[in-house]
Amino acid sequence: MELKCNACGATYVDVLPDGMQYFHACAPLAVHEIRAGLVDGSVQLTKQQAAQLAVLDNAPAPATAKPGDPALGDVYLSTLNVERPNKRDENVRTRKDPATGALVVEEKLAGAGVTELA
Amino acid sequence: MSPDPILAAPSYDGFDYGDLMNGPSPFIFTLADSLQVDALCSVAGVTVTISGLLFDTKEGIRPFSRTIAPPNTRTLTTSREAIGHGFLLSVRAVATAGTPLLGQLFVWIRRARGLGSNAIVNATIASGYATLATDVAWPGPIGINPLDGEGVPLSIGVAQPAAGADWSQTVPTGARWKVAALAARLVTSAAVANRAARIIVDDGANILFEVPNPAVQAASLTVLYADGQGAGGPIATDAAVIEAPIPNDLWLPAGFRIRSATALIDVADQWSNVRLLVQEWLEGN
Repeated sequence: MELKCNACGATYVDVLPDGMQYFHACAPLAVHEIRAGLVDGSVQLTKQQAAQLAVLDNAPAPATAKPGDPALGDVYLSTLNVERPNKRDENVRTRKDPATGALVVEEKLAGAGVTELA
Repeated sequence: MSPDPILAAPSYDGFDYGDLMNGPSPFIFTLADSLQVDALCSVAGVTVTISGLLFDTKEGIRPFSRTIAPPNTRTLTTSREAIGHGFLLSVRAVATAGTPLLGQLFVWIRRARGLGSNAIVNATIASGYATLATDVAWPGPIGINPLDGEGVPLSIGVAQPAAGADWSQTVPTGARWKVAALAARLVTSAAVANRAARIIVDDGANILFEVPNPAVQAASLTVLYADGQGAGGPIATDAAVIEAPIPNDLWLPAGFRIRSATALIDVADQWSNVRLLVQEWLEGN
């Protein structure tokens, strides 16, 4: 079955052709997605991160920079590993049911869910 | 002189003393014991058949057989069954449905006292990876652990991210990967900027390794990124392929990630055809 993640928009099949189950987990936000999230409020940086970003966004480009090189602030944001709101992680975890003592296997994060494509 | 209390005892757990001392097997099953089968599996549709022979002096040699269907989540599944009273002469587990490769189905055959969730395991009889043709057997080779052996080589098709997003692959629960190589295609939009794609390895939160690719990608191009162990030099890069090294022996446990981070990625850029070549072991935790 082909699925689309409602959180990140990734598409994938739940069972690979060799019979292995595929467990999707959303990628961290790309830099432009972080920038957009900072504008619309869906992404929050710590005070320290925000201060560092402000410094780098206002710093002149290094003398060694070539045309087309990413801005210093973008390079910094790419290192922050900002996770997506409503992130989905289909990997499983096992816990013991306190009532029955049985092991329960469950999805880590349902996130925004998925849409069946085919 | 009073008789030796041990020699005089008529039986132990239903076994005649002489039988017990001269029995044909170290694995004795009383009616309170069960045969426990623990399994890990990463592929769908697998059935495991466990069969063997049990002996006692009253009923002779008796065969037993049972099947289990472990889930493909790489999580431990346990089943127990009473097989009767006697000496275990032999036992084997083999896949009888599905097509697991060596490295995708691991089985432990154990003896436990009790049947329920409070049962206590008191012996591991055999353990190893099984396929349709390769069994886990006792008597037989020395049991192995799930992280032993050469693992199973897998080609993992990574989820295709939305346009303008990076790709990421998380090592699944219950797996340990050794990443050998990866390939990923980036098609850039007409928006002018030099995309600089990096490969990042992290533990789910903290970056452990990051390598910039040795060339940037301009607008309106299709480039295949090919990164691999031993690709440290000389780096070969042309208009269609950009090559970069990843660490040799890149072992990643569950929850660790390998992913791209593309500076100046445009909202209409598209990563696709992302594939990883990995060796996988079942963690067994």
